[in-house]
Amino acid sequence: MLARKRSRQRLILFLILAAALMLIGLLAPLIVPNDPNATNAAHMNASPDTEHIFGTDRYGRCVFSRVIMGARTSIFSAVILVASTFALGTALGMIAGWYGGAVDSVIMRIVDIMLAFPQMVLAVAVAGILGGGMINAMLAMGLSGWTLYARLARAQVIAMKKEPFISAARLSGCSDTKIMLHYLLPCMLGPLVVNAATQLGVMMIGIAGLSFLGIGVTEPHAEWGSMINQSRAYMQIAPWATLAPAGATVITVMVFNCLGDCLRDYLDVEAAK
Amino acid sequence: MDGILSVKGLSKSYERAGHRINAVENVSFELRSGEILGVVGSSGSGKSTLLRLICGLEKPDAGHIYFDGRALSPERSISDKREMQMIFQDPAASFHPRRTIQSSIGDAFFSLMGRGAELDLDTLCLEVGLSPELAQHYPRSLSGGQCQRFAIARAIVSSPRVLLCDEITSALDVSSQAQILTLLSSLRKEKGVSMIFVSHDLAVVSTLCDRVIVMQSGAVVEEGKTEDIISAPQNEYTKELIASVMEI
Amino acid sequence: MNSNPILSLEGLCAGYGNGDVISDISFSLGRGEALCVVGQSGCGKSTLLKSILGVFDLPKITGGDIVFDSQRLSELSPRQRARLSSSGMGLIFQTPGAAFNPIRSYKKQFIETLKSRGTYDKSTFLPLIRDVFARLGLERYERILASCPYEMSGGMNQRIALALVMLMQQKLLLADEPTSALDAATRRTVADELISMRSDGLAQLIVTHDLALAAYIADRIAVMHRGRIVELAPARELLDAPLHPYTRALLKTAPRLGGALPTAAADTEVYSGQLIECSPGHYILKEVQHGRHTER
Repeated sequence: MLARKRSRQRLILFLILAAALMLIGLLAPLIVPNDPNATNAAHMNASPDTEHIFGTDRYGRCVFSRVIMGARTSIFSAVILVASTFALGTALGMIAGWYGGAVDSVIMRIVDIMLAFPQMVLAVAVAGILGGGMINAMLAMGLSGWTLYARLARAQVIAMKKEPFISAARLSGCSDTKIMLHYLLPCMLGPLVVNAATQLGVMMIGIAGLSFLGIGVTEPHAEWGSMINQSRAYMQIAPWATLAPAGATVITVMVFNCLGDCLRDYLDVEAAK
Repeated sequence: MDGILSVKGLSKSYERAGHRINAVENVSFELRSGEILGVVGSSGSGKSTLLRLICGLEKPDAGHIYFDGRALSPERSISDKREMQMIFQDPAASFHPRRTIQSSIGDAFFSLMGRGAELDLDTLCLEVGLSPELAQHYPRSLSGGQCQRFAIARAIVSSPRVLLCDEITSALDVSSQAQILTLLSSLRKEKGVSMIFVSHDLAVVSTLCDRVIVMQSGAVVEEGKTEDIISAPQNEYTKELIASVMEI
Repeated sequence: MNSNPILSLEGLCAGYGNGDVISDISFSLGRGEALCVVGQSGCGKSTLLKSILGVFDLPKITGGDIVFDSQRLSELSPRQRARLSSSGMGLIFQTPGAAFNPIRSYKKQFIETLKSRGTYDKSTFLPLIRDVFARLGLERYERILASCPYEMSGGMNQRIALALVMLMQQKLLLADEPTSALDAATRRTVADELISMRSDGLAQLIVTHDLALAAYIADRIAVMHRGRIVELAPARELLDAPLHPYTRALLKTAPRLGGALPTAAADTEVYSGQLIECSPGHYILKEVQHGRHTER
């Protein structure tokens, strides 16, 4: 009883934090105190003051404003990426698990091929070939991201396939699509959503990593990874320009990871009830 | 022949841990119209697989299933499904866990009978002896006996002529079991539904069924009228089964 | 009945916080005796077992007392009570193998259990097991010991669980539907084993809805309805000459080989009153009104 209450409280806390971060990202253009792309040659590498609370970078741009705008890029690219890999992976995994046979073999061999390469190495290679840009970075990360959901969904479908209520639905003449969407999907959503929540953090780091390497989001677009990369050469002169986006990344990733963990704990407790 | 359903040379085997297991091996029998046919055997004798083959949930390796003299293909049409329904052992697991009973029954009805058909849930609930309000519940909040009666209600939405019952009373207590047996018997009497009733419990089978088939490791070892099987079993395995019945 | 019972219940009432699930349960159980508690699901028979075992948090005992092995359980601290239950009472579940870790060999689990009770002796372990297994008709004990529970069938797991109870030399076996997950032939084997376990004084309290099992193994049968015992009598007497209307209804629900279609027992009636001994050893629930006994 107590465990249930506590797990719910923790979940609510992190949901609020995550929602706050997403709100900041959503309203970024309205919140920013200064134009994040406005350079100011008279104010380069300036230390934090009341006008620029995180100081300025080597072009005199307001770091705080750029961090806020970067939240928009980081959070939303991760959310879109996770949502699309989730949808694609779940759909393919369910199809593989449900139909079995040749369809299953083909889909799962593709998954095996994707898993043969470490995700980041594959992403670096693909992003390098495609060239920079946010869309390409997302494609590179998503290329292997969907396999996680596919394997999970397939395992769940195979486990549930022989359940009497699925057999009954088949005997009732429900179409395959209907069984998958209305019978299987609602019953296996829990573990998939937990995975998706945890993956948000992973994807954020991935995109920031690609940008840091210079093959992700490019200047002048504000993105935390590329901001760190740009300002690290001036670390001794203007540490704030590096620390601010780095701190923002750590906090955001932590919030989303904790959200995933809390969601898992909460669903575990609910299932045990 | 007045057989409504006949099975000829049905076989099915599985690959399990590197071994081929013959779950059902060359099984042939006939279900007469309006009859309740019992299938007994210990667990692993292939009784459940036989039913799944008959209703088209699995494809046989060999053999044919004839309904009304017409061979059924493994891919069943909606009209085939309307004529033959199956009920399962675990009553709660037979329903979508996140939907009310009513919604599950409605789903089955409209899938089988088409969108335009009208479902009379009250009459249906009455037929299985339950109050229609109970249909608003989720399966986990009902007792096993209630759930199983709703499962029967769902199976008869399309007024099928054959019902396949897979150990449907094994998970229930004696009183619910008696209710289900009475319900099946009245369905046969009032609607002329023919049934195959699979159970490991010979005592239960003997109270309900007209004829009995005894299965052992996938094959039929004895077949006959219930009285004859009980009073004069021929096969050794049948004798063993009868001897294992604990008398009250 | 045995003059020195291993277990007696004295007006036991228990529940889960909102009203009693079982009320006023009284009986005693002698050494080597088997009492079967029968009734429909929800009649409180499992709650009765859990109250006696007392190692789970629930149910809470709200009245009456339990005397086990001449110790009044209400006088013991929770820790003493837990120790007494684990040393003296064996438990068999409905789900075969629920008592075992599925991926550890039986031998390791047996040794562990015996060690935790301080009765493990390397030199006598194997002969003892051979003895117990032989008595239960389990062949090739060494092979069984080396295997893991997940490799075994449900029936086999249940039989090995029985062997463990014998090995621990417990005084009372509490069994909750020990055969209902098994098929008919295995059910008979387990029933035979339950009977043979009693020869060295093990008392058995078996909860079941299977009247045939009760008829086969029980010395006495108690019929429970809505948390109360409505009739308690020697097995044969209760089955052949039931006195309480509910017992009669319940007996009609049992399928008999070649018999008529069983009829369901109505669950709506509520019976109250006191357990009255109407003939030696035969108790029945009767309403007491102005000194007259009226059956309801």
